[in-house]
Amino acid sequence: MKKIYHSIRILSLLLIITLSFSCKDFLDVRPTTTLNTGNAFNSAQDLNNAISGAYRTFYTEYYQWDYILLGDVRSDNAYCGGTNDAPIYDYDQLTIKTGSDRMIRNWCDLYQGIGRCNIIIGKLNEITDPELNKNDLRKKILGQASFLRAYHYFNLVKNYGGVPLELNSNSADPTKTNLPRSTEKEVYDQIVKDLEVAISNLPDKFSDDNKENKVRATKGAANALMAKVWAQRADRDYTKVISYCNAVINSPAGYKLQASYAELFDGDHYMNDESILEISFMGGDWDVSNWGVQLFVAPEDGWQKYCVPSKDLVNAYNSENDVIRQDANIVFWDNPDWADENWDPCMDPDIKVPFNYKEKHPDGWNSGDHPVLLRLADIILLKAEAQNETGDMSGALTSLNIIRERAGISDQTASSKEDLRAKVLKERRLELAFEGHRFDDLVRLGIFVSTMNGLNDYKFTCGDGVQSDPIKINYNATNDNILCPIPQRERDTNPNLTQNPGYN
Amino acid sequence: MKKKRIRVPVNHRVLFKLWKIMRLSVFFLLLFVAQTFATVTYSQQTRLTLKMQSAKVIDVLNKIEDESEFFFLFNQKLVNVDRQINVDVRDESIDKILSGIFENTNVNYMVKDRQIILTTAPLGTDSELGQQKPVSGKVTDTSGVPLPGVSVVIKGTTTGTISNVNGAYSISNVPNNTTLVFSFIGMKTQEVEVGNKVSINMVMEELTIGINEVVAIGYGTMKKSDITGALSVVSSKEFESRSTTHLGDALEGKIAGVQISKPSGQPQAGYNIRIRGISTITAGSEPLYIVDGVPTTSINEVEPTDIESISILKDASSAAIYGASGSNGVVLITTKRGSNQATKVNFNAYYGVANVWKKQDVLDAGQYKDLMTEMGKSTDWSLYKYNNNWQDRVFRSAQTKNSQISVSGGNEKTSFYLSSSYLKQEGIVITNSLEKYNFRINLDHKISDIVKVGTSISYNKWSDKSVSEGGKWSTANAILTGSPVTDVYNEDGTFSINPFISDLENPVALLLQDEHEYKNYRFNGNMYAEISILKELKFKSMFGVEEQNGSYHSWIDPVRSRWGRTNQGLASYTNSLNFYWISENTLSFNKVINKHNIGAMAGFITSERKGEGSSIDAKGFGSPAVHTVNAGATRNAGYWEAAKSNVSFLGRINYGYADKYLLTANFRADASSVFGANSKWGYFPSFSAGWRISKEGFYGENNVINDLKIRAGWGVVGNDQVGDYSSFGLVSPGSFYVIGGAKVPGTAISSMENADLKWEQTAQTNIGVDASLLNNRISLTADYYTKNTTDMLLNSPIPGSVGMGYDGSFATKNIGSMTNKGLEFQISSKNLVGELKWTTDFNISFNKSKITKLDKGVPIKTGYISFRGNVAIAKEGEPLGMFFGYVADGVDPQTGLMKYKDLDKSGDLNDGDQTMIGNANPDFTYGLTNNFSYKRVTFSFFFQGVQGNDIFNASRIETEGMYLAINQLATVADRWKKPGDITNIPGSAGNGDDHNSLLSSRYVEDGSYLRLKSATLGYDLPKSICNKLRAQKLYLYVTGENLLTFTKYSGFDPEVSIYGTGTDNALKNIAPGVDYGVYPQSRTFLFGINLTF
Repeated sequence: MKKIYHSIRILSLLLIITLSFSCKDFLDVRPTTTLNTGNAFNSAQDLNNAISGAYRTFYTEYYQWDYILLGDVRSDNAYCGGTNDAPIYDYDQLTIKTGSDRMIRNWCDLYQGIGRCNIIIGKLNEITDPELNKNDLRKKILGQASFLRAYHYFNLVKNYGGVPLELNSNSADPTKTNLPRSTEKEVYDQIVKDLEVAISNLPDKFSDDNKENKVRATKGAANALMAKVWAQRADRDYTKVISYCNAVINSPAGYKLQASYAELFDGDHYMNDESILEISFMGGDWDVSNWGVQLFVAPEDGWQKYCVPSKDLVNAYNSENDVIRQDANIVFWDNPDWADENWDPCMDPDIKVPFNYKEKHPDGWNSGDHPVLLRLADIILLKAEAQNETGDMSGALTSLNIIRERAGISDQTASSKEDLRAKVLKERRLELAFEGHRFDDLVRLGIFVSTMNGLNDYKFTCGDGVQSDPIKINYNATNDNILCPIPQRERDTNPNLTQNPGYN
Repeated sequence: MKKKRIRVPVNHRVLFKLWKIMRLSVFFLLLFVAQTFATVTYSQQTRLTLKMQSAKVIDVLNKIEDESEFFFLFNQKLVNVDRQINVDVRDESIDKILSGIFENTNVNYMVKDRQIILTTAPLGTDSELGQQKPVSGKVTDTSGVPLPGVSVVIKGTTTGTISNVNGAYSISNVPNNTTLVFSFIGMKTQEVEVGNKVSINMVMEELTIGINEVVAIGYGTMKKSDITGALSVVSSKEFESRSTTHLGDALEGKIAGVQISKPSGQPQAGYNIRIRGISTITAGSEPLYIVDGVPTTSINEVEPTDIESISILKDASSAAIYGASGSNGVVLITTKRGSNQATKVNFNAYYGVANVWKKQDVLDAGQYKDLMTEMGKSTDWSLYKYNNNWQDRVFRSAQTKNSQISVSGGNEKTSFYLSSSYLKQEGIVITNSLEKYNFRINLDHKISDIVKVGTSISYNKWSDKSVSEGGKWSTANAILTGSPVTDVYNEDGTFSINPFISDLENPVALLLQDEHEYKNYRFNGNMYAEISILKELKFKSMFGVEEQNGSYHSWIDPVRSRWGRTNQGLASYTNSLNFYWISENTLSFNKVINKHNIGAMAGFITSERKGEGSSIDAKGFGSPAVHTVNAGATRNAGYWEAAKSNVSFLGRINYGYADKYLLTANFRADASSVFGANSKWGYFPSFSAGWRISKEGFYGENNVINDLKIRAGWGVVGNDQVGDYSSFGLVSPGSFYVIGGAKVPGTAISSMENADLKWEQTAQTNIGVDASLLNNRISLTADYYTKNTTDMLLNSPIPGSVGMGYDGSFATKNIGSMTNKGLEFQISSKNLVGELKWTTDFNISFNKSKITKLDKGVPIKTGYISFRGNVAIAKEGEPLGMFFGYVADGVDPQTGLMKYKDLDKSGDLNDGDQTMIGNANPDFTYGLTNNFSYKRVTFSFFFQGVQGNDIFNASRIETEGMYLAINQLATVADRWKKPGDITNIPGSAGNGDDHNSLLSSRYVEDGSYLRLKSATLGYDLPKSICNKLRAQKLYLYVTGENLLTFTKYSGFDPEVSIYGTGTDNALKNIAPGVDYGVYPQSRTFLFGINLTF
């Protein structure tokens, strides 16, 4: 009996120990090295952090290099290169597949940026932290989030046409997320609306430090984007373009052209006065460095690089004797370790092969080079285009020649509106090569199909060390190529999405 | 007091009657003696001193009666007591004295405590009394080790003794015409006719298929005959006569319904163990492993020689007691423990050499140059003068060394088992190796009659150097595609490069350039206390922990390789620390009331796992001198933590009536922190019943079917391998951006919240039969099962427009369902039981799976093949493990291009032409083991096979695709060369064109194989030699592994699954049977020694 009493005592002790903690607390295990939606967005500082996180969308694959492929490889500026990897070769050949991995990745990257902005804009109304009212913080956060959302939607609408207008992003519930496509106009209207919010809330400068002003969205950036939006949308309004361009040109932020074009991209003069918005990378730190450069230059890797400058582009520089800009944008190197079907099929040691040299410092996938998204020269040339389209040819020529002067080439003259239109376009091509604008320019002016089909481009094969006769490259462009396909995976997930014409 | 002498003047018959009566009383006395084994009898104890000259026998007997308590019973007509004798003994036992007195007479004597019966020798062999004499001998186990505590009893009586610590026994008066019965718990009871023998040595055999065997079940043990679920047991006897480096070696091919495969030939790769098919898509499909009561994540470190037995719980009625973690089945591993016996030292060692068992023919330098020229590649061939077969440079004779020593023993209160082992195993590919250290202590101690405590502790150190597998440039592919015309190094010390692909180094370079090592330190231990509150009621409390500390470092020098030069050297260091604890309290009740056998168990369990890890990557090294991250100019760090906690309540009731009708019911309630807030608790019941028909009265005695039991069970189990924080909407704090020239903190949402997230649920039904046939010579088990998995966790794609990014555009939801059905048979047979013994074990399993519901019916594709896409598909209505692609339709004799079937009749080749092209699931898997023994020689061999499965040989895309300037298999010599050629190998494709090597049925091959997995010849050295070594046993053996393989598969080895290793569960489950540079299996010859002191 004593034994039993003893065992019961031991038992009760053990039971008390095991039952003395609360199951509920014990089972409530929350992530410790990451935040969750419950504790991430509650204060002004939280939203400040979220804004930094929203900028980080610029580190996604789309902004590391894909927008350049879509703008330059898809146009007459560059060939695929690489080893003609199917998805990128499809950009070059205008044969993009609905199932393309790059399509869905770009789509997701851009919507990820939009989603981050949506959360910030939504939370801004809920959080009552008084800190938000100091130093216009609430306005600055709202303005930046609105700008970024507009910027990503602009890229979406240019690539895919009318896309679903997701302005909430807080649910995985299919009834809320399977939005149908809006029209192109509706998307543009939302972009304009967001940019109006941005313009009215953003400062011209955040501080006296270019290192902040050139990497954050400013009023100048919002005006510049507004100018591009009004030029690009189908119901374009060149008057508005001029007025927004002027807002940039005359901005209190003091934008002015960098005296030397070469300096713009030499790696030592980022965040200069010409810059309106650029992607801020820092070399050396893997977390925040630019790996995209390695895909364009760095022949020491031993494999062919992407976005190989086209003969047509090289010819265009030659035709203007545009040495400064060509040298800044294209580098010719001795035969590397591969055959280049466009330039050097038989690895002839005497032939030099060109590279996209806009960003120059691959640094083993760890570059600090800044891709420039918006800069004054783009806006001045856009103004020139708008001036010409609105009948102000002399104004247009003035604007145009500011740019030519900086490039060290002679002033341009024009015989007609059409002539000047072509000359402004060409100027944009030479000035802005490999900044991802070319495709948009051709589309905007309605000459994409004729330009691509009119190209006299060719490649070669190599047999027994002998270069073949030139083989004509036919792009067979149609108006359907202006838009990319809606990614198949997105259509599988959201059955409300229709496909663009020309794709099935 | 003068004792009265009894004289019995009767004839034989009367004497016999009396004898019978006396026997009864004497036997009752002996019963007492047998039960109190340590008691020494009076006759043994008493010593007498007598000195009588020319005395009559009767006087001597009287004198003895006077001097002692002995008294004599005899028939004066038969025993001549008037004979004159001389007696002169000093301090002698009664035995000795009597044998002297009656030497050379016909008188026999029997001493029964204080009574001494005198009788004459029986008249002829039909004497019912029979001659009596002492019998002695030694009892050992099959390995020759003495067995103490074995009960030796004269058949039909309770007369007997037990063997002492040296295994010796002796029984004094054993009739000739009787039989001795040797019995010991856990051993087969054996009988020997005494006859004229005075020395009988006995070798006890362990019960392996005995129905009275006690086996481990969840949270307890049970007699095998009482089990109503589907449970298989493998005892250490079945694998300890040969070398085993991994638990999987011991189990592979041995158990019906358990598919064990080696996904790779690397020594550290381990095994994939799947019980009754795969019943999940995205969650883990490995069973739950429990070592001495503590769940563990990996069994790679468990030392097989420490294992006593393995119980595999296959169906829900046996696994439901593990609730939300039981759906893949449960493997209970019990390690060896000491017992009340003499200290035993056991030493095991083996040495082996492994070689690749198959090489593949590749093009030589001349043929390679021809092919390159045909593909339009030209170079200055005079610079490339080598003719290498890289297989000869990469494969080697790999050595394995293993040694293990264990010491076990104990006394009545305390017992112990200590063991340590060391393994060093080289892979057959240079640079590949594995090293393991294991230590174990198992202790048990009885504090008192009611409290028993014990512990099991093990510590392991593991380190391995792996070789890259999977993908275009994996080792196994690279050795075939490496350009044969270069050597390893260039003259400047850099690695040589393919003449046409300037970032492709040679296969040896690919191995040497990446220096790396994985290390893991693991501590696993538990302590228990068991309190017997009442005889029937026990409380057991166990606390266990497992701690793991792993690290991985890698290094690519900045000089020799291109990748190293680009990055100026690369190094990485990752470490992780995991701690797990479990507290388990169970109360169990067992009582037999007449024919009712009642058992019940209730328990409460809590556990918690916490992990943390960090990583540092570095590059930019000034020189190749320092290989560690601290010397890199650019560094990057990462850190993570994870935690999971569980609370469970469980209960079991089992009831048996007359060993005939058996019922078991289990219940478990599980809560886990990983489940969403809306579904914290899961409930898992099971019921099963058994009927032992052979125990029924109507069944009668039957020599054909000795034992027959039918079983049926149903239950629900779960799979809780949900990601730790999957139910949360996670916001990453590492979304940094550079503002103002500095990196600033940033946050970004990365996943959507799902408060409904919970376990996957599998309902299982099992029907089985157990039978023993033909005098128990054959035992047979057959089972049929169905498993229905619902609420299966799937990564449901959410629209990209939701904004979770490319990597986060999936949400894990409980939406899928699938079924598995199967049939399994296990047969064990003792074919020969004489001096030549022969046993055969055979098992065969059939399983069919079917996916019944996927998210929106959208198939899931995975199994990525470089530049070709995903080859594996999970689709509604199809089994898990299907291949998807084009249907190859031969080579066009005009163009040399592959033709593919235009299934959608669209006129051109597009996605619509893709279909199911293969099935990685076997029709059946089987294993066959034969054991022979003759005197001291044993021989066993083991065949294992799978039948009817397909392998997608993606390696051939690289080795026969002829689309890159790399070397190819010799088979491409038959390629199409000019219009009109009829061949099944298309023409060379030139640079990069993939048309001829799309994912198609061209690469689907029959993966069936039958393999002589191992054959072992063993020899037990004779006692004489052992004695010289002071050893009890010395066993030598040679083993050959993978000696023969019968297969049509063209790759290195049919036992492949490139996606079988790694951490991506969906990939493992959906894409089995893909060969894409799998490290080949080896053929091994081992020599081993097993020494017992």
